Amino acid sequence: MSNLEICEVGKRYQGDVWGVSDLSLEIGTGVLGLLGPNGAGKSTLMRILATVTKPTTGFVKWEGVDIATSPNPLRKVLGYLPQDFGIYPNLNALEFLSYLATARGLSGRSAGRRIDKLLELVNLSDARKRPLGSLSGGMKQRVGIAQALLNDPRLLIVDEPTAGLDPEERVRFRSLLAELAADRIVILSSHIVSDVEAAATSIAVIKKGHLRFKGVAEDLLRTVEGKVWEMVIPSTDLAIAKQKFVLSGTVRTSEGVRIRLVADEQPTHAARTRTPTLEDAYLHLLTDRRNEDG
Amino acid sequence: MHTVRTLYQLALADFRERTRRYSFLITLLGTLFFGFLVITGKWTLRLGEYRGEYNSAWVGSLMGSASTFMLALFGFYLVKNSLSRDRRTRVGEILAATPLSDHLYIASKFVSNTAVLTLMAVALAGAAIVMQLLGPVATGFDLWALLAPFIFLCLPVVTLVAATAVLFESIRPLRGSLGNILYLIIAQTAIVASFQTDIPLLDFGGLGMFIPSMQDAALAVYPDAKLGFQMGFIRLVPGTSVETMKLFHWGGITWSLAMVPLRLLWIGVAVGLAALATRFFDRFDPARARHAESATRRERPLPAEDDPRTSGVPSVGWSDVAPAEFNFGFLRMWRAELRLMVKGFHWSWYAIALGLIAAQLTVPYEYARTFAMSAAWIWPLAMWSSMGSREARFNTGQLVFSSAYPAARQLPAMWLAGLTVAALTGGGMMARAFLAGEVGHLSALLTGALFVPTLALFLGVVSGTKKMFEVSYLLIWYLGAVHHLPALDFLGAIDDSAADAVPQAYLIMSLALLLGAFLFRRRQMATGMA
Ligand SMILES: Nc1ncnc2c1ncn2[C@@H]1O[C@H](COP(=O)(O)OP(=O)(O)O)[C@@H](O)[C@H]1O
Ligand SMILES: [Mg+2]
Repeated sequence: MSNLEICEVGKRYQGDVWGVSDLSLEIGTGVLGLLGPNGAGKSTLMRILATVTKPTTGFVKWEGVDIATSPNPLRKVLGYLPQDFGIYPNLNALEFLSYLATARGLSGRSAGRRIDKLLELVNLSDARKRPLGSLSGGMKQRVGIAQALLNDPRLLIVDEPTAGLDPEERVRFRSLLAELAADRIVILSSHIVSDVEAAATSIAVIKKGHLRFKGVAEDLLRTVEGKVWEMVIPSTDLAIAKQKFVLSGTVRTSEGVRIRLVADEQPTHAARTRTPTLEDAYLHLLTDRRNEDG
Repeated sequence: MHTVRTLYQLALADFRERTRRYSFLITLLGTLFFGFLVITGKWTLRLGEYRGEYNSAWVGSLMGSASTFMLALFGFYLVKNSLSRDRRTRVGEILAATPLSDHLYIASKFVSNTAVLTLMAVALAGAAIVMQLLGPVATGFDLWALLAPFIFLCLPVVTLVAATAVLFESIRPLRGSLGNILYLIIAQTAIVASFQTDIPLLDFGGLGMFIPSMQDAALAVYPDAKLGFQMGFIRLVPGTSVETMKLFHWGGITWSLAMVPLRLLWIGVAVGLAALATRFFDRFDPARARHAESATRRERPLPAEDDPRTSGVPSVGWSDVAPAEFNFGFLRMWRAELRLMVKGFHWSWYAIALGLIAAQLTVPYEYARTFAMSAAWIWPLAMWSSMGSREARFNTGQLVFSSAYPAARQLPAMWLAGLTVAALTGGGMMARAFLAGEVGHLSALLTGALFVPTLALFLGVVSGTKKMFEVSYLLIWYLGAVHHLPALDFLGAIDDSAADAVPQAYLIMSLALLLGAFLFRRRQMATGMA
């Protein structure tokens, strides 16, 4: 069983900015969805796990071995799709992938066969001879997905992978991740709840570099049970309501605005409880002041 | 009024962005080091074996002309990055969507370039003042005599260089390495013309304003003297030094308003060049760029995302993907690196490279050794300069460096690919030296073939840019391969250098650079800087 152990990891950038701090997590087989707003530290954590950056404090162990001091055992079985990566514009997809396959140490024969199939899998076989410089953003992203799968990774790290993919492809990609996760670790980051909700077996939420939650979706939902309310207010009161509550949804109706909010107490007598969604729970977690340190 | 303010704001932002970079500090220090070489007499102004006493007029003219020369040759490379930065950072695309006119944008870059170069000139003028105050012979301090050459010589040249840089950046084929090489040739030709001409209209540097007066002063003391006019590093002429030169007194010339129009003319030319740049400027439209690129590769422009052949349900699933087998092949890695290096060049590039190899084999030996070889080893500049910096420039570092053993596997393969390019492009000469039994020359060529790509790899890894190598190498190449400065004669163009153990020195240097590149890359990966 593969196992990734993150222990009190912190990363300090220049100017005393901590990308993540004091973060501990134990990750096993399955899809871990890493949720957090922009700047929360998701990419920082993923770069550390992908051996691209070394943590300032703490350590990460892959099957018991510290990846900062000996990264190569992990790198051999790692697939990594960075959030922000470039391509060589003069190479085509075939050439680019075989370049990376060589760097990953795949044998020539195996690389050739895998690349063909992977390009079909991401629907790029007809574009494989085109210079990458002329591909659209979504196509480049799919080249990125293909390269992450080149070496049949046992740890797959994908950082905001659905950016640029159309809705159909998103669905397909999520089910591919679920299929892959049967016998490997997949870590998927996103700032969009629905991305994670569909694919993840467990969820971790980070905010300002700190881990705020780790568990299965049901646990996260339980945190807001009985705290999600819906009521209709005059649209003129919307601005006040926004100040007072954390709104997780607003719908305009003929009687006014129907707002959905998360609050410990019933906000008004007219408010009715609703079944919480992951979106509600996530918003609540992010805005809950009691979770704040300082 | 509004336009002027916008221009000022745009240029100011650009100027700030540049001068706040660490690399700017390095360049400024480099410039001051050059000033130091002039101060200590490593770079001189001579009329044959005669030179003037170091009074304000002489020092001003010495420093002023040296600065003009340096800024004309290398200032260009310093400022030729402002459009490309906007392109890379995508700021350009944002600006392109605003009502900002092309003229104003280009003008702001021109102004900012001029400001950066002027700052360099001011630093050198400061060095001239310090030299006069602290120097060995401090006779009569005259601020105007010191500064006038900077104003009359340097400033117009600085505007010319600034405008040429903008122009080169606007014309697509001149944006990259080809433009860098071409500029060096143009600048060198223009400088020689400026030195030697009697026609004021060709004298863009303005040296003609005072050379005759200097020559008269020398002739007054040494009536039979054989004068000429030279400037440059003293080592270029063996057996000369500032101390052994014969002295004369030169009181300087009267800088007058009558000299202004001719200098203003060059500023006018600069403005004209900047205006011309507007005509070529593509306003960061990637479609135009893509079109031009794909045209050279005979590719059709691309369909959008909803191309039916690249969407829909794929015919295979994950279970159809063949299993991964591992067996790292260094030869395959080398081939892959070589392909990456040579890909994307127009066929005419290869045609010229072949022509240069043919020239190495056919023209008389001495010409092959000098002209053909120096051309052959400047031609692959763009290939070499991509070494080590490619991952940073294309932002593929995270993909490449998360593979196993990147420093031990990929870096050596890349290095070997660079050596291959050197061996191929200089292969004609090597074969010929071998057949002719020219052992000294052959060993110089071999160490040169080792040195150039290794330097490229090192500077690419350290700086993450193409430019650092391109500018350093152009400088070395210019002094060593074109002017045969023995210490920089890395391609063994003259016998002197072989006698001075230059090849051995380059061999040792190459090994040190290789080790440096390797260690630096390892450290970059360890600190996550890559
Ligand atoms: N290279 C860097 N240098 C300095 N600060 C950085 C760097 N990368 C990220 N940060 C900072 O670290 C924090 C976390 O960023 P990041 O990991 O990119 O978050 P996310 O991926 O969740 O959006 C942010 O405050 C960001 O500004
Ligand atoms: Mg991110």
